[in-house]
Amino acid sequence: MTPQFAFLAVTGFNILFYVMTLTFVIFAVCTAYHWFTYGSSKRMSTISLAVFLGVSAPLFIVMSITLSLM
Amino acid sequence: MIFEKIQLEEDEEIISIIRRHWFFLCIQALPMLLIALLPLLLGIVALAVFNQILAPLFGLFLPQILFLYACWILCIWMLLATVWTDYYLDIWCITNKRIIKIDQEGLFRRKTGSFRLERMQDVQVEINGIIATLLDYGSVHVQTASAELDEFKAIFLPKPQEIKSLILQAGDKLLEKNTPIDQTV
Repeated sequence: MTPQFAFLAVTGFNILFYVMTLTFVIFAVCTAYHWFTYGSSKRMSTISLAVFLGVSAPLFIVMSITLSLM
Repeated sequence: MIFEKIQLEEDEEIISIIRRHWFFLCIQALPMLLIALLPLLLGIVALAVFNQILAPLFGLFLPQILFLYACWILCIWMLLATVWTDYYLDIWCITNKRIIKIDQEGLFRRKTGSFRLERMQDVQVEINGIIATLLDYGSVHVQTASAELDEFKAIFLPKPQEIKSLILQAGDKLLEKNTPIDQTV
């Protein structure tokens, strides 16, 4: 792997990471808005949001660690 | 929350809030879980078959592979959240005056319909198949006298027979209440 290609690949992965983060943030805000506005129980909506963020957090941690190892 | 938006009438009480059966959620979520595991399974199979070629490559590109797999899982996770949203926000609300049906279709499309119990003509329950019988779910059709909404239908409802009797009881109570005293004598 040439240094030029390696640089391009890392840049590509970085862009992908930022795109994923932006998509996730927009999606999470929209979803949480729906759960809390149109949901029937506040407790259920809170649990849903906690589980959603709780599972997403390790994935972002894995993405960040692997990105730093590249 | 939703009940502030529905704006129940005076002396209107919620009798029951019904969501689809949990099996419906499983049917929708299972293919996504399989898709999430697919790259992992393919990787294991590929490593087992072409071990000598792929093992050094996997070692070399492990951070990249893990990064892409985490992205993949995150996408599937967001799709699962959409499925949950659809399940959680789709409700049938039976009150002592009407039935309110809220249908969430994706994130930005929702349909809300209601009809008064006085307009109800018939309630039909349909349970199809072994799984539906064992898990006790089915579809409920409520036929109404309304010109616009002549049929209210929901599939995968849990305990459909109980829902039917609940609707009929609510309808009967409302009829009794609305019937003038001099006609009952």
